[in-house]
Amino acid sequence: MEDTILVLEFPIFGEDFDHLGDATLRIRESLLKALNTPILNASKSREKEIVRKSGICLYEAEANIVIHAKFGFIKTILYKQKIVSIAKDIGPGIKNLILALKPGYSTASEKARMLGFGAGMGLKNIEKISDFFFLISTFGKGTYLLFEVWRNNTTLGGVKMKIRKLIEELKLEVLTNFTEKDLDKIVEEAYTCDLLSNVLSKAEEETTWITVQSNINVVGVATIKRIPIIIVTESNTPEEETLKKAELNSIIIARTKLSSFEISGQLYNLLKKQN
Amino acid sequence: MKVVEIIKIVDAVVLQEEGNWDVNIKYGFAADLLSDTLFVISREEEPVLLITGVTNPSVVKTAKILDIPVVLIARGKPIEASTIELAKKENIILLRTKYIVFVTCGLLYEAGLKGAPWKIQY
Ligand SMILES: Nc1ncnc2c1ncn2[C@@H]1O[C@H](COP(=O)(O)OP(=O)(O)OP(=O)(O)O)[C@@H](O)[C@H]1O
Ligand SMILES: [Mg+2]
Repeated sequence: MEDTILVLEFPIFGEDFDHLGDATLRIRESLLKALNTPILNASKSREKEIVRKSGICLYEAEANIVIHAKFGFIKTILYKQKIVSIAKDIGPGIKNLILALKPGYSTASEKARMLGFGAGMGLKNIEKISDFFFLISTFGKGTYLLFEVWRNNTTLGGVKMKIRKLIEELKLEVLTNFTEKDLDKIVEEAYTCDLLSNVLSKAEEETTWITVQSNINVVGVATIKRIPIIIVTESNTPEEETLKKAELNSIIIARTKLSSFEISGQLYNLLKKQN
Repeated sequence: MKVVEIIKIVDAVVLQEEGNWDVNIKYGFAADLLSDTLFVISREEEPVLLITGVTNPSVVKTAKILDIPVVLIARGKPIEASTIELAKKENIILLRTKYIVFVTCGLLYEAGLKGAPWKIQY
């Protein structure tokens, strides 16, 4: 494929606990180096995030071959738009995939458990973190796992945007003190709602929250849902206490004169238009 | 919380000093199961202190992959030389305290170190 940047492949041996993780660390290092080259012009924080995600998934995949299988390999391909990894092994295979994906289910040996493995979280973790996950196994033969971590603008949800840009485009008035890092956080969608319990139960984690509410409980909910920015509409003014609590939790509170309807519309178009 | 403060609070010894001493630790996290650690810390952007009883090199590899700058070994467990060696190579500060995990966490919490405030979802 023409946009292939890097291909890395390492053999992994069953029961080779001493070297468990070495292949992942090597791949991780190569990815960091490759992503650091100017042609890819990845932002520092995004770059770190995709390498970390790939690293975690690779480590779990590598551990599974060492712990559960006889022999296999892990292979990582860096494309312009995504990092694709494959872990394939000859081994016992997985009899029941649904069971294997259940948090806490583990058949890890006593030896593996002594070393800190066997939480039964590995596969679930890869599934959760990756943007695409594919697992197939033939009982008695082996297992094939493929997962992808996507770069900018390639999530299923649509366009991703930095908070910095969002604030600029929507002409928001930022009320809290913030760090560069807060502005570098990325949002890809929003949830407009004034009922806290609805946000708690329905909003996606890490979403942008648009609300007319500005009391301190808003920050509590945002913290739980890991919401990086709250847009307070109709020029409502939060109390000092609310702002303080938001700052403490690295949450940005920004204000607009517009109504929730108008600002939602603008943001919707913004996230769509970019595509 | 700075690393030197952590050392003072839990009366720790430094097993491996190569690393970032300026880092400001935001959260503490205690676990002996590495996948649990990977699962919970996977999205954490702030510097985390890992408190654990795992002493083999896997703990350093886990820390590296998660950008965890400091690992605190609890219960005064003896630690493999290979773990220290790897930590040195990977720039991860290794500390050891004689307190058990529960007390270690308690002391640090009392001193102001927090855990991540969200609930874990599967
Ligand atoms: N490559 C594999 N070959 C055979 N069986 C596997 C493989 N990968 C996973 N399994 C099976 O699926 C189960 C769950 O795997 P998972 O990675 O979620 O947890 P674990 O490896 O047991 O523990 P942890 O990953 O938390 O250290 C394993 O216990 C094992 O029975
Ligand atoms: Mg596993």
